[in-house]
Amino acid sequence: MTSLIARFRGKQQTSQESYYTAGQFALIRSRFARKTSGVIAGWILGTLVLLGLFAPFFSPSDPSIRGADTSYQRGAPQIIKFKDENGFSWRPFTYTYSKPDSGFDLSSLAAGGSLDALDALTSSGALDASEQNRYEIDRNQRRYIQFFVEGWEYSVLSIESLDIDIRWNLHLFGVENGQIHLMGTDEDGKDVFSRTLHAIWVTISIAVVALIVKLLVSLLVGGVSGYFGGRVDAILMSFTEAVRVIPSIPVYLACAVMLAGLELTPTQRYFAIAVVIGALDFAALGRRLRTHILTERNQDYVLAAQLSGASTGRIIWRHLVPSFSSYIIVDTLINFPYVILAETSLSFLGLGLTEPVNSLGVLLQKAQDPDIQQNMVWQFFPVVVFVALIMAFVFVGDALRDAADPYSEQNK
Amino acid sequence: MITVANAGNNSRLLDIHNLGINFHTDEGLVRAVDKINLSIRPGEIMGLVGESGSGKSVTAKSIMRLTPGHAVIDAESQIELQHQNQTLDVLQLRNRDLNLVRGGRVSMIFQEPMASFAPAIRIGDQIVETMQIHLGLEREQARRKGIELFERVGIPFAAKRFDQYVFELSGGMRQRAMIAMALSTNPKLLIADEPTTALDVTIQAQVLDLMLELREQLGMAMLFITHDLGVISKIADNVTVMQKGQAVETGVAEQVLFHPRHPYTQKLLDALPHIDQLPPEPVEKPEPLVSIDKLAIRYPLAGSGMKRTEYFTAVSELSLKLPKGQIIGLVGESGSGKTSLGKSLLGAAPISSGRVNFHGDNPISFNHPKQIKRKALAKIAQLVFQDPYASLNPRMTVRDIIAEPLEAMKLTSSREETDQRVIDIARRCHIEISHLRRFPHAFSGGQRQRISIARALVCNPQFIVADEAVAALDVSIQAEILALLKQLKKELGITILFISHDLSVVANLCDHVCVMKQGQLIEQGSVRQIFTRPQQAYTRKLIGAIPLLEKRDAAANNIHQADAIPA
Repeated sequence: MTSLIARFRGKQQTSQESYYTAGQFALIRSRFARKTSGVIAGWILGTLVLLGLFAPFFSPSDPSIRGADTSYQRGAPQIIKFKDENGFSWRPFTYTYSKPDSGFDLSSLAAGGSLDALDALTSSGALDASEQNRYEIDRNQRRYIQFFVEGWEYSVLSIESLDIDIRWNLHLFGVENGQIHLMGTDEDGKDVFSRTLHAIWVTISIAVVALIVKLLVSLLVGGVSGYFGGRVDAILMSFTEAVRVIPSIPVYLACAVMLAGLELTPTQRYFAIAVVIGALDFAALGRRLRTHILTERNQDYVLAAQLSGASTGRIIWRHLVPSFSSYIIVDTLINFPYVILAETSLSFLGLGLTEPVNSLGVLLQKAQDPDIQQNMVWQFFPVVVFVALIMAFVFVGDALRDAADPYSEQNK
Repeated sequence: MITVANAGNNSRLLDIHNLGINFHTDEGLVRAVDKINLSIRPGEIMGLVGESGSGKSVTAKSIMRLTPGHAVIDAESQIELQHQNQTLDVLQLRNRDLNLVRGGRVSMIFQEPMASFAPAIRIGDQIVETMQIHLGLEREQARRKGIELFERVGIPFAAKRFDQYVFELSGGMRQRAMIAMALSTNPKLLIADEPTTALDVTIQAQVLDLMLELREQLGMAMLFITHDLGVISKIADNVTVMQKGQAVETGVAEQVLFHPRHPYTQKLLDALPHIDQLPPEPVEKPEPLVSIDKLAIRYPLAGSGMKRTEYFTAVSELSLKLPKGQIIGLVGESGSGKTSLGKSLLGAAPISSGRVNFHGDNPISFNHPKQIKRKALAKIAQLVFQDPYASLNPRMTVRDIIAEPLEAMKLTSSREETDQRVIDIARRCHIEISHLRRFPHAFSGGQRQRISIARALVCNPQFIVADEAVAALDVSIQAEILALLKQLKKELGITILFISHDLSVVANLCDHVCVMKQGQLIEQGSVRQIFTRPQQAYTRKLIGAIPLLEKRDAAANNIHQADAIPA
């Protein structure tokens, strides 16, 4: 509001007045704040997204094969302690883990190469999967956790076209000698915790790309259809229905085959997947937007704008778009988990991203390996994070939907 | 607060003690009803009057425990209902037992009959279902009784209507069907929440007569909620006046309406339009500002598909001249085409033939919506809507709403100039300048209507169509808006086409009146001429049906007032 009106502002800003001058989003926020489950889920969601966004900073190890801890493959989670029989320490610590000597002389195998030697190796049990997970804990060799340590280098901001690449090597925590594995390691020695953090961001960014593509297509189809109505509406909606009846999995399969022939880098591949997911998913939202616009454009206030001499563009931008912006935000949030699920199910089927890319879908797919289910249950950590992420989205979306239309009860 | 002193509890049908209700809203805790005491005896019609927000509907709903979810009823409140020689406290009943009360002992009629029937089930089936549940009748038996009821409430071709859907009936018939449904379970108390507000005056008169007649025949009591004191004077034995959740005055209808003791009742009565104070005959006839030449408006029926051959004619071959600088009342019942006519002048209704001519400084003439130069027309003609809630974009501040025509048509050169004009017009319409930063949700109906008027006037138009602009407002607010329109006419010299179904309002406001019936202009003349010497039978019927505040024939009601509440 400009200075002229500002002069008339009363000095007292009561809570009543702040309600009266509250815009749509302020009203939504105050209603959302009253939903405890939504607020809690919101905090969890925010934390997860931040962890994902700054994954390199929060990760103690490089999640790629470069950062694999060859001395601690298939290792169990390392427990953080403050106190043991050797005394209490303010600084949390873990122990040094080392591979027990299998008591088998590999050199004889290398030198002789006889079948007997191989037999002896097999029967010694050193090759058993469960045996490979066993590490000896040296309780006298503590590894103290340090904060803001320098470690592997990662890029904070990288724009290839401008030749900008800012690299950094600071991490939230780490240990002095070797690495720390909060959630254990996989068969290559890659840190499960670090991989999961990186996977969150990959998965969320696919979902964001997919939702933006979806939103653009639905806005275009739904908006045009709803505003113009009549024959345009009939044609566009039959097209939408036609897209809607195509089952999605075969389409994804076809796309996966097509993408495989294109020799894409993993990054390009994942954007391609996002675009496909988004473009095929516009039907439901597009139809709903159309219905919304159809009802909204017959509202008195739209007629009032027309009679005030407002142009079509002005009516759309000033009156119609704000009327469903909250709706779009809510719908997008509610749909987030479905898009993530679509990505994970594609990766799960082996059609989407594959190892060694870190995405929740890839990690989930990995977790179905019987070896992991029997011997490395800690690799279920990404599943827990995945469930938490989905639930957080669902609860936030639900609470937002209830809070979203502050004008729904105004007329009563 | 007035507590009704009374002898003997056994003569009461309903007793409300200390009813208090709080609402949890966005604005915090609101006291909707504050320690109301009310009692109704068998066969009595209790009128509950008050403006919107006074708590009258919530009070009525609480009798059936139908209060909305965010309402909290005080713990010490009691609502006692007599049922087969025992007293039920409605507020303590378990949900299962509530069905004894809801629809059984007590029935309810709502304002919008269209919204109170399920649209996809035949009306008859809905009534039969009610009777099957509450009276345990067989289907055939219930059906016979239902048709009888339809006949009783005066629905012609009752057996045929019984199997129709609600959209197939007219407004008056729908309300009759609703009454039949309410009566189907032989209730002892009928709660009627603004049952005639949505109806035309002539239909309203019929429905009121019907309700009085049914009371005589069936002896049931009624709680009649309305904002219209004229209706109350016609129907109620006793009246309770509510203001801001409190019962400010209770007593015999005659007493309250003609010798009010509370200043608020007095204020309500003063705000009532009177048709006995008509303006004098105008001396000179002003030039016409708008002339309408053989205008016809048709709407295509059954809008889907490619062939659109059938049309509904809203206005046919209508010619009319609107004198400059006057307020012209356009009256008629719903469906008479008055709104279509008003909208066509603004280019918002499909003109199929004929021509509209605007004279004056910037003459405009058009005979087809496509010919209209919308911006040129918007500068000289504007609309004030009926619904002050739907016509303001809830997402814009009041300042932005009022500035819309200026900004949309780029009539000002700078933001400061826009603000200045917004402030000027807001002052004229008595909107506080500090309120310009607020959003519409901060305002009540009357204030919203001021905003709507300010938006219409901000680009200095010569002509305004006010389509039922005060129909949704309380009487006291209505009086303020009417005064504002009169003042604006005087100060700005604008011409106003005031569309209304309420003849008493027209009599108060307008200089000239046009009466429409079924798309045709059947009579026009000065207000004095129309109200004192109506030429057409239809006009006489409309005027006769106005529910005016009048003393009733004492004999008709003395039965119920004989043992009236001592003051």
